[in-house]
Amino acid sequence: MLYKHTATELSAMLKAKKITTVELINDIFDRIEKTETELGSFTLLKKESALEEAKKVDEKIARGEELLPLEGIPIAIKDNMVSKGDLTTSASKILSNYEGIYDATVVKRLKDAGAIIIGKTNMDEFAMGSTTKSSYIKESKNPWDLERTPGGSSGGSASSVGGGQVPLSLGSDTGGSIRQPAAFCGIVGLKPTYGRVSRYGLMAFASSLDQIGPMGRSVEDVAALFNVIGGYDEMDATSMELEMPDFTMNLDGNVKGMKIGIPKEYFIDGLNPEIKKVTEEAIENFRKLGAEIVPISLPNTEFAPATYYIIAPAEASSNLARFDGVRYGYRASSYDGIEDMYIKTRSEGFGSEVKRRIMIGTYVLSAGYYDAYYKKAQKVRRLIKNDFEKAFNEVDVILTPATPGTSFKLTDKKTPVELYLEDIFTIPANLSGIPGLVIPAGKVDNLPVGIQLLGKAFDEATILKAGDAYEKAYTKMEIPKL
Amino acid sequence: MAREWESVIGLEIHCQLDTKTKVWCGCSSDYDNSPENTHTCPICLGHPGALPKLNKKVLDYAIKAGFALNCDINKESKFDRKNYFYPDTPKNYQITQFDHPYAEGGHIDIKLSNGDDKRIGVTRIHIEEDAGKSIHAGEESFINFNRASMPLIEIVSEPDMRNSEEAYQYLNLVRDALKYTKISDVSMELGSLRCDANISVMHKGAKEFGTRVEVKNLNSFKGVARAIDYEISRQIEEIENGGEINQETRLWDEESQVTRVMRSKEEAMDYRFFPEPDLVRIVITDEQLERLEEEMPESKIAKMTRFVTDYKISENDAETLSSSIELADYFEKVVISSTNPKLSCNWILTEVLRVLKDNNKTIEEFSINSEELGEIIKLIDKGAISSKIAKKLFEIKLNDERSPMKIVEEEKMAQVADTSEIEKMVVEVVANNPKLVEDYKVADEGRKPRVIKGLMGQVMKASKGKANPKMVMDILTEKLS
Ligand SMILES: [Zn+2]
Repeated sequence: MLYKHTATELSAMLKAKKITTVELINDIFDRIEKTETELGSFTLLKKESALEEAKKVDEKIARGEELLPLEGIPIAIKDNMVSKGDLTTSASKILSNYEGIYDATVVKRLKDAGAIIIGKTNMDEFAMGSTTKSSYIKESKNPWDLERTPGGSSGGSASSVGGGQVPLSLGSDTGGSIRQPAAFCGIVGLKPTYGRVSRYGLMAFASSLDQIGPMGRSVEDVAALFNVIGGYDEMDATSMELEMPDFTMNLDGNVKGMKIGIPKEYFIDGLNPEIKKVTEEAIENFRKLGAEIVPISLPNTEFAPATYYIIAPAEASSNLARFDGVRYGYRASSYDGIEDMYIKTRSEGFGSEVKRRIMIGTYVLSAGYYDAYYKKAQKVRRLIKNDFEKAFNEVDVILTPATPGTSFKLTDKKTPVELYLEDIFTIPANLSGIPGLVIPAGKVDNLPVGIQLLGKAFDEATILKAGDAYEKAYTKMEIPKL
Repeated sequence: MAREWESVIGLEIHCQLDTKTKVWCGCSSDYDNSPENTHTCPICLGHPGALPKLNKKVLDYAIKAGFALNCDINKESKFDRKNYFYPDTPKNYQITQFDHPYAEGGHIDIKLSNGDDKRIGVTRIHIEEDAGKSIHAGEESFINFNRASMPLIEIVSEPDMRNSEEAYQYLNLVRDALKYTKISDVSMELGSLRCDANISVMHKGAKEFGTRVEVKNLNSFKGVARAIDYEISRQIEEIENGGEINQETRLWDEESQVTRVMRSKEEAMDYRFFPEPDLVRIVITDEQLERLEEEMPESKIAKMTRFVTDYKISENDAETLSSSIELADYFEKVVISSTNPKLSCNWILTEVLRVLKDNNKTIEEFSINSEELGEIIKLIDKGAISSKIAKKLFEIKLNDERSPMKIVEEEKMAQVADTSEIEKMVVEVVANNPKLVEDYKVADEGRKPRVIKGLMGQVMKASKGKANPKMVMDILTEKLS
């Protein structure tokens, strides 16, 4: 039953020698073996190497050496983060045979910190989607209702944590891909400030929006994982050379006097009334905790999805060009010349969502349309960023709903545009580069509902502090029966 | 009557920078003798997740090129992606600078045949990455990525040139200027300098330029000139025969000395440029500019001027000596060891350059180093050997490891400066040439020097050229008086 604990609790138990790391890893894999056929969270499991790592940690404990905060703690990482010697596929056919030849910076940092990577999690192909249904490998399920989606694109990372398979996971968030599945699966997910966590080794979807972030069952766990993966990395030119404070340090449950802004533009017609209710309750709860609630306006919010769906595909169309069958990955079996090889490889290797976005991206960047689309989108992006900068002159944190609704059925037929609107509350943070934290705030029809706390750039500390305070006062960690 | 034609030429010059590592990764750039694909890593192979990181030295070198070509350096610039599929382009986009290059508005002055200077504008210089190399072997194709991600600068000229000679001169001067900065070995043979030409023709005096044709694949200086000449006549002929010039890209076929269509305007690529999101803006600080300006070697012009003032040599000689930084360096080192600038200059311009030309070698490949040549010149200067002997010594030294001094000693080439020995020879010559002696005695003052020269030649001959000429003259004059 070790799987029910948070990483922080497990770490304390290891340090107190109440359990061994090998026991922990065995317990985790028992749970995975029982639940994985139903949940489908993983694309790769590494029990053998995980147990080997566990033995090393146990030897260290036996020698009486001090453990690092996440040493011996099992963790799952999204399948778009390269790890040496492991299949790293981005859930795409085109990389279905691709083995990483190096470690992503986050992977390297986890290994250096003694965390135990137990596997790679399922995702939407190349992180494009909000259901995990565009995965070439498998379908993942929501642990709260197996007929529903865990969300996307970090669906496997969310279902693995939400379903009690692993206490911590890493996801990546380009337009809400950590926060939306976290909300759907009833867990905590943080999209850090752009430039805070190195993207080196993250298979790029949209370089200017992508950010790796931690997912876990408590704010404290997420902060502890963030401590390990964050900070300047010289391998990523966009990584910021800023000090990383210890984000677990100021989680004192105190939000007295904290100014929380409520943007009116986020309470729109499409918002499910039940979600609205939960969010309003959360606002009220924060008031009870002593926070000051301030109505604010983010006037350009409505343009965020359109802006995002120009910039992200534009960058994606270029980022995905390297998958051509020339140097690695899948290659079509028969072709006539190089041109034909490209066309067949990419036609066979990419799924429909990826193709759709490559086409949109190619179109908006093409000579005749660049100014009308891409350039204009960049201008609007600046406006959205300005909105936040202005708002954060008045408030410390902005509170919004995380998603317009709860998790939907995997069989629900939604058009691409309907699916794109799923990210409406999360996209602005990516466009502006600011951090966003989603925490569970309640349930509707036994399905989790999350709220989102947005913070100033590089001020993850404040949203983690607010989220932790809320969690301590109002959230009961739950793992659904499976 | 046929109307007169004028041509318009602009050049795009690619220069590979000589940094120790590639532009985005730590791979060594010294791959010339390495097996294929051994200087590669996830970054330059475009593996998923790998990100570029700008090698700071690349920017330093690029800025120096900007200085050398008199450009304004933009304090802020950015990188862009140029998207196109090509097997030897690992990411299927090239990182380059599109609308905000780091350097703009430079120039180079060329000399027209009438002696006038003409200023050729340098529109811009930008930084970009090189691609790998495709190797085609029968049915199969292979790619060597050792060159992928090597740093390049592209120097784009204004369409200021009017004929192949001007283009040839411009290209040469650009190469010289770059070579002086030591940021590249600028060799067309080795591929570190590559050139494309944009060529159009128009009627003399016309206001609008003709349709532009881009000619690629120019990989020798001669090729550039020939391709331009060919292309100009092809275009004129085409129009005079009632045809039209298509906006197209053509390749220079070195073997058959013609240009061939590579792609037409209809097939022109849409490169879908957009700002490179994986790299931050380039910001150049004043401190960096100051530091690099200090590091800039003396320019060719400055060197020439200094040679004329410091070494009292002619402007023409100074120009030849500074035609390459290596030759100029050689000259200055020879001066240091010879302590005679004028003589050093003469020896290099005559003897050294002759040998280099005959053997088709550069000064870096020359077998006599600056110290050794300095020693030879010093021997002449001291009177230890005659110029004639010095030339012999020089010839021996070309293929001899021994020091000049040692050769002189071992080959007994030193001048005879022993008075009694010279006196002996003079007495002998005077005795053997009574007719000349008599001639001298009766000659008027005007003829005397000529007659004595004849006698002196006999003495020198008797000494096998080793007698000190001044001493011979002194003793001879004394004996005859
Ligand atoms: Zn490399």
